Amino acid sequence: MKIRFTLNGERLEMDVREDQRVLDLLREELGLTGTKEGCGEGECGACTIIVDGRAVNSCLMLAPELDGRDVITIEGLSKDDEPDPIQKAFVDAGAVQCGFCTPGFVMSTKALLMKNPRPSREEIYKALEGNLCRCTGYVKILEAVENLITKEG
Amino acid sequence: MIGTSFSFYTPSTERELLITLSKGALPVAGMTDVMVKIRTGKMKAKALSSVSRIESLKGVQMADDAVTIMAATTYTELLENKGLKWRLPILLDAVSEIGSTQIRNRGTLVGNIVNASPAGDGLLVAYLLDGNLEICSNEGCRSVDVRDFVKGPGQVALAPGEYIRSVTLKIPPKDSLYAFVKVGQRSAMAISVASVGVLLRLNAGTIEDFRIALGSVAPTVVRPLELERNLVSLKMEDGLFKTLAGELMNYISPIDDIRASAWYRREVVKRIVENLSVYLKGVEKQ
Repeated sequence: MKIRFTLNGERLEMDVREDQRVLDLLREELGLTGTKEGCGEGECGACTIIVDGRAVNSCLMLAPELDGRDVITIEGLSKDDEPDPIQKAFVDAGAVQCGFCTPGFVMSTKALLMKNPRPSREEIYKALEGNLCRCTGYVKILEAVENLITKEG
Repeated sequence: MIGTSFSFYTPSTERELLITLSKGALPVAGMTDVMVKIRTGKMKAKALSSVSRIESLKGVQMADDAVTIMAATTYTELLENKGLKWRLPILLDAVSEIGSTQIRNRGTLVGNIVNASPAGDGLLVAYLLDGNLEICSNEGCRSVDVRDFVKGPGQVALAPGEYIRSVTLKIPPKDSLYAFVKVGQRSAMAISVASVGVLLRLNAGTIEDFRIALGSVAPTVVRPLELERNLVSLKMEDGLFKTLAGELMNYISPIDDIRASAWYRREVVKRIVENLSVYLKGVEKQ
């Protein structure tokens, strides 16, 4: 099946399998391995990408659903080899340990800030509740996001 | 990989949807449950057909006494709908606790009803608000109460070739108090161990309308209509909720499972209902 969509600002047209998950399309066909597979059941959020401005689990979505959509993956955040401010904030706060969950957290944060540049603590919690981290205990991740907002404000 | 191969259609009109259904496809929406069921082998489908691109199945329609939610409307779209905040605050309370942001961005209320899990929080609210489904096929459309549609855990009265257009929820009487209480192992992503939804309207201390729905304590959501009727016209007195909690135990049949024991579920429901006055909230004005 032929689909057209925008991926990280670039227009793409490609043939996809109807029953292929978006996660597999990104990783296997397009070589974008920044999006991770954790649970494969929508529990952990490691596979989070942004579709039409909203964070979604790419493991629960099928490739044909991308047709006509605007998709952002973790690879689309850095510009001119400079990390996105969110990525910088995570590094500065020590919010990264093994790093496996990090792309998902960064994408959930990105989706939140695209809609709401000054979220409350409650809104940050709500936006990140679908992402699991087994290393950091979450404190530094929340600090990273809060630091970013204070700095930008 | 997902493990099995199947066809996947993304029709853009209801007419096209019907064509795919006549080829044996199952109608799906956000697929947040369907993808997991296929992956774990609990569901086998040769073809799926997504309603999510069909414009006529999107949005929310408000009437004086009811709200109609179209099948492709996501939970996030419900939460962002300002008109629902005072019309159906109990729905928004329940929806805001479903899954996670990622799940709410894809999942739908109609999908939750078709999934027919006894732990479905959206399904519980649909029971409580006397939800009515519009089910369509090549032969036309029919209307079915959610309570009659759900036959058991994961079992619903949807025939091959049919799809759900919308669910209509009745707006509770003005000035009703409401409560949605969910007990789970953690707040995000947790499937309810037990959940309770209540609507209560008082007039000078007398009960005018009372409704209660219980989740995760029987094969489907429980709505004890007889018990509800017996409460109408009673004075709202101390001890009433305690008596109610005791009587409710005759209506539930919880099981032991991976999330909680049957004993624990009974205790949780009892305690929530005994203390309902702590949870009841008023409807904020427009």
